[in-house]
Amino acid sequence: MNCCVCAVCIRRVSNVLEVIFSEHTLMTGISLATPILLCALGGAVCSKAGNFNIALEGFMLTGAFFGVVGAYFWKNALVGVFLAVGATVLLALLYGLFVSVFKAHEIILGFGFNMLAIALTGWLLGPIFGGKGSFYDPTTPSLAKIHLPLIKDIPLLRVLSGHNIIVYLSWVAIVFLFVLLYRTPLGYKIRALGENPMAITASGLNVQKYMFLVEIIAGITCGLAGAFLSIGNLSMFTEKMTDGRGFIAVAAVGFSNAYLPLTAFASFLFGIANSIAIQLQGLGLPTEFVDMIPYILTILAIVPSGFRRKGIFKHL
Amino acid sequence: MKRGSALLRLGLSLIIALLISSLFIFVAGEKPSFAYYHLIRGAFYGRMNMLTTLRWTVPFIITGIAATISFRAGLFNMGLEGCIYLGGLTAAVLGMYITNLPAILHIPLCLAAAMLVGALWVYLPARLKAYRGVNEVIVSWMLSYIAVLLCQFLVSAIFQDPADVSQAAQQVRTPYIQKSAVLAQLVPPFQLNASLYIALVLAGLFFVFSVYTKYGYEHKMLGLAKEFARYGGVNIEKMQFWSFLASGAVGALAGATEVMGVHHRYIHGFSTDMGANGILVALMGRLNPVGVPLAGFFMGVIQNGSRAMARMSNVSLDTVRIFTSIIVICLTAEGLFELLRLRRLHKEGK
Repeated sequence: MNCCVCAVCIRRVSNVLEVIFSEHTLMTGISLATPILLCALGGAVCSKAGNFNIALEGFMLTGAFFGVVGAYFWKNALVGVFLAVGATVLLALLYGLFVSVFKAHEIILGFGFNMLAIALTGWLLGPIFGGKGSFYDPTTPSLAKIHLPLIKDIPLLRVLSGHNIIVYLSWVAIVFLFVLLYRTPLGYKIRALGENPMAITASGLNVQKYMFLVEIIAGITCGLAGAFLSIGNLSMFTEKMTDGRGFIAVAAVGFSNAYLPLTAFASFLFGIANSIAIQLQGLGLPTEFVDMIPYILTILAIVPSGFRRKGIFKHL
Repeated sequence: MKRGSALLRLGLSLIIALLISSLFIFVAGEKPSFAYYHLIRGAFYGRMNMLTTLRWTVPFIITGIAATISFRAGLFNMGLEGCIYLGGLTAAVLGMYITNLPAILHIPLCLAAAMLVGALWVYLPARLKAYRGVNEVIVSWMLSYIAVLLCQFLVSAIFQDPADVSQAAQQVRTPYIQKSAVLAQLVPPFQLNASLYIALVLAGLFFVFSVYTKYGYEHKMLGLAKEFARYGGVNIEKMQFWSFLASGAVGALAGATEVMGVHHRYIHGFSTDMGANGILVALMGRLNPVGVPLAGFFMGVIQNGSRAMARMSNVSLDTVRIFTSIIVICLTAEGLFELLRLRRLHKEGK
């Protein structure tokens, strides 16, 4: 009897382990991490420039909506990506206008922009698609999966292959933004803006210009993240479809103290944890607890910032 | 002078929001004047509309005060939504399982328990923010999501109405609470109930606290100038900690009054963005103990009137959401008002 229970236990544990370490979990983890990663990259750049941006969620939602618009009306997913990026950059510029020129309060402004994005996309659903709540049309194309030659045949490494273009772009973006921030004069100025805006003014540079540039970067990454959500896999849009991912991205920024390699690491961590959670759901864990995991991880990630000497979150 | 400019800001934000939402109404193919007429009519015309407006005013005032308590201390309690759900569930569970208690004891018990749970739920962000400087926005926000999921789990696993289980109803909700825990309707059959008094008493207490007590002054100074307050001998950490707990407790009170006064049971999803709206009301009321209840009433008018507007015209509720979000965006934008002032100076100069 005892032995039997033991055997069941062992089988269960091995089941769980199998799930956690399977290639499928990694694959799903990568695609769950991508929107968080892209948003967090934008957020980290904002944070380096001294702007604690919580409007990422709203930016991403806007991107998601216009991604579907482009893909549906032009029957081409790439047009969707461009439209998503364009629309999100416009919204981000508006945010930049309020934050740098009109000097609005960052958190309240971010809160307002998130509300605005929900309302605006909800409103636009009516006149553009003639529906309410959600839009799905099977003829809308979604982004093609790209299989990397060579890598797709190597066991384990093959999880890196078979994603759509936005996933690869997000990896390029990590390197690109890192080089931009830490290896170019422009990046030096952006970081100086976060450390001491007066120094930028004193050296005769235009603070607002750099702030707008930073918001454009955030707009591009969040637009890509949104497009990934709406046309990356199944082409559809539902109201509030970003579902808190933007906030998880904010948490990833905080966790990493806006240091890009760590930001990327945190995003992948959240994505893979989420993927493991989804797999475990099949093994009988209540859905609600599974859904809580990213939020709990986020809190766990933030708490150490109080016990460190330096952290962006201490200045707020 | 200062009060005048605060009102000017609010007015200007309102005008900008009105202009932009008029544009949206116009694009949707309606006359803005027609839509606004139905909004005002739907909010005020007739006994039913007026009472329903007041019914919506109650949660707006309570959540507005909850948000104000944290904002005035320079803190952002983004976890109001979670507190509302937890407060509602606590009130529903106590209202359901405790029997044979007179209403005079039962109602305060439910309200107090809900407030306690709400305060305890924000203990973590309060403690971490006040004594460790951890960002309270993220911690309270994430806890809010967790609270909503926790309530959903608790109700579906433990407190689900047995009548629903047999009927295989999809909704997650508890059975009805005892008669002794119900906040009576003031004018049956309308939903307005005794929680109106609770909201008014709360607003009164908050006014007295803010204007006439020493702690109220310290509370305000903490938000306005933290270092000044520290220099003046305010125990900043303690003040922040307790302000945050109070904010959570009042947020939970809003959930409890909704459950005990309106639904008489916990229904998952009963809070329709009440937490976010509380933040909105607090900002619109300029964190002022008189302004916040007025802003709560204004939002009650918008909430009730916009439904009538959506029914009578081609204007969707999203238009109203656009309207309110633009107010939030414009409210703190100093530069917008500078722009106005500069233009006026320019004119005077000529």
